[in-house]
This record gives sequence, C-alpha cells and structure tokens, in this order.
Amino acid sequence: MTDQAALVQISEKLRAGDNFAVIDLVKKALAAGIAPKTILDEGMIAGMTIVGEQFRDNLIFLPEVLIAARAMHAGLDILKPELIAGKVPSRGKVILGTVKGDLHDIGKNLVAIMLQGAGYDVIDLGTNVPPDRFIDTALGEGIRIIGMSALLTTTMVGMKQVIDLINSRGLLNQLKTVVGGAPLTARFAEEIGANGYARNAVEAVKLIGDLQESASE
Amino acid sequence: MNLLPTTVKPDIEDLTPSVRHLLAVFDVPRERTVSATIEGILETAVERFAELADPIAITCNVDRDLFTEIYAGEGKNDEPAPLPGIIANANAFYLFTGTLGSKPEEETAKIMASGEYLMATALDACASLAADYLVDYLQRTLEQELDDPHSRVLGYSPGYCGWHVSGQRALFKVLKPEGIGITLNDSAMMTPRKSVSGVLVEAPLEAHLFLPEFSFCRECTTHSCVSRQQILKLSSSRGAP
Repeated sequence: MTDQAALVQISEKLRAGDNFAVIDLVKKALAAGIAPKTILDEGMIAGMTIVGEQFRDNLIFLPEVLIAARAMHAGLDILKPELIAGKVPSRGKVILGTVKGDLHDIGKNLVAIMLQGAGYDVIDLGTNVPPDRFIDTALGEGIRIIGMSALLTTTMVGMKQVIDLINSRGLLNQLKTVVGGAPLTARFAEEIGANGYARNAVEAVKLIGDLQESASE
Repeated sequence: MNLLPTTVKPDIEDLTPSVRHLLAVFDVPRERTVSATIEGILETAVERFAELADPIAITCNVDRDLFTEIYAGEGKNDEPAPLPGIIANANAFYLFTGTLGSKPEEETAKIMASGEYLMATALDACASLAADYLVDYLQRTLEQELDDPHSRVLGYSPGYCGWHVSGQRALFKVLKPEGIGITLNDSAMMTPRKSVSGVLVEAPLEAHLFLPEFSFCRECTTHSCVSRQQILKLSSSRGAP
C-alpha cells in the first residue's frame, strides 16, 4: 500500500467512527515509516476537516461527528508520543472555560474535543472560571485566544466581565475572545465586544482558525 | 395556608427518553437512519440513564398573594412580562422543584473523560430531556388531581419569559428543597444541574396564551412558549386531560 493510500484509509475509517481501525492503521503507518506529522495532517486532520464540512452542510449530524472525534482521539493517543518526541508543533494553543457562576461543561468539552481533533493544544480551565484566571493563564502560557462558554442568561454576562477586564488591562490587541453557549446570539457577542461567536463546536474550530490567521498576518 | 411541601417520586420509566427523542435533540431528521454503532451507543446511554437517575420532586400550594410576592423576588423581572397577566387570571399556584439526582452528571463526566464522547453527550441529553419530562409529569399529575375541565395547568420557571432567574431564591425559601438534595449557588443555579423549579399555574386555557412580542423575546433562542401553547391548545381541543 502506498503512503497516500494508507493516509486515505485512516481518513475514511476516522470519518466512519471506527476507532479500532484507526488505532490499527496509525500503528501500521508509523511502522511503515510515514512521518507522524504527515499521519496527523494528511490522515486524521484531513478526515476531521471533511467531518466538519459535512456537519456544516447538514450531511451528517452530531452523533457522527462525535464518533469520528472518538476515533480521532484514539489515533492521537498512538501518535502523541511520536509527535512529542519529534517536537512537532501544534497548530496553536487555545484557552477554554465556562465563565464564573456557571457549572455547565458539555458544550465547552465538545469544543475542546473538536479543537484537539483539529490539531490545537487546549488548556481547559473547567467551569466556574473567574475573569482574571482566563487572562492570567493566557498571559502565562503565551496564548492569544480565549474561548468562553455559558449556558445561563445570568452567567453569560460574565463573558463581558472578562472582555472588560482585558480592555482595562490594555490587552485588547493581544487577546482575542470567542464565545458560545445555548442562550447566546451573535448580537450579544457583538454587544459585549467579543471577537467571535460560534453556534457549535465545528463553527468554533473554523472561527478560531480564522482568528489565528488574522492575528498572525 | 398549609405550606408543607408534598413529595412526589415519579417512576423513571415515565421520564426516560427514547433513542428517537435523543436523535431529535441532535437535530437528526426523522427520516434519517443512523449507523448500528450510533444506535447501539444511544440505546446504552438510555439504559444507563434509567439505572442512574433518581427522580424526586416537591410541590407546594400557595395563594395568589404569596406567589405574587415570590414572583416579585428581588425586583429584577422584565416588565411587561406574561406572568403578571396569567397570575391575575389563575385559580391556583403550586410551587415545584425536582431533580434527577447527581449520578447522571457524575457518570457523564467520567464517560467524557474516557473518550466516549457520544455516550457522554447522549447521557447528558437524556438527563436534560428527563428534566423537561419531569415538569410535564407534574403538570399532568396536577391536572388529573384537579380534574377541572375548564382549566389547564402549565409550568413557568425563573430564567424564562421575563421572570428573572434570581426568583429561584424566593421559591427555595418556601420549598426548602435541600432535603431532596437541591441547592442554589450564587448565580441562582441549581445543583444537581439536572434540576427544575418554578410554578405550576392552574388557569383557564386563555389565561396561558400570549404572543411572544415582549422585549426579551428578541433575545430568546428557543421560543419554546410557542410550542407549549400549541400543545396546550391542541390537548384542550381534544378534551384533555
């Protein structure tokens, strides 16, 4: 089998959510001498990119996305030691958290899963995160993008507190914010001064990719 | 007035969603079939939910004056809002709160951490649906008990339709649900997360009907009032309860 055929097979099995096949194929690809970064980029991330596009176009739905993500992470578990040993850089780093007062985490966890599947390193601060912790962690880790989640109308105002604090500390040019959660709208995101709003985890990956590109220009 | 809350323990079978309901939550069209793998995961999630959930609720009959005071809460409600008009035309008010217990969310966190994302998300969705069904169950049970063909029972909750979420504090002062394991945090958020609270209002059908044209309706992402009213009208025309 050619390298290209092996990578296509990884992508296909990942899209089908066949985690055991992905583990097997990634092991075989490594044994065949295919570079870990090539397996990641041209096999697994390529597969997840198609999954994201199909979800966006309503060709597949959340259950298909989630079993593909499971396969992605199963493959990543095999690849990660090789990527670390080869000092392969990630696509970027993102901070995620549910804002202060809010304990909901399913949506935020899905965004983390999809970002990792797209090749990002994610620092997940968990739930009930105070405003200064988002900012201090971003500065400490040299991260430029902060993703915030909220599921309550009472707690979504906490997103504005984070953005106001970024502003008051003179960091608006340095830190970009992305928000999401069931009660949010694009209008709310705009009103509080967020740099982006995503309706779902797939949109969040695209938005963060776009923000990262514009930040590096 | 007797403010002693009544405890209700619904059968979990009355609250457990079907795989089809889960697929609807995930926006999967009705005509669409899913793979056997996905179907199997969803079935397992439903079974696991039924094993873990421990539904319990309390209700408490209050008079109009007390409910008006509870609704006013901390003075943060939107005005105008539909509830003041509904209150004026209602016959009876029953405060309620209920929970599915903490086990489903604890298990969800464990499963998510293990990498079984669909199973975890499905278990969480089961609990969210069941919390809604718990309110439906309380409405249905009360309607059957009251047995008044001229009135209907509908639940309203803080955080919706102009009733500020801080209203939960006033509700909890009367209900005292700590005994069934429900507490509030500083944001008026309930723990366990899959808990519900509010008031069951018994009123003539017409009293429950309003148009979603209030200022806060523009920010609402669900407009669930529309479907709730449609269901109420439909069931009334069929002679329910």
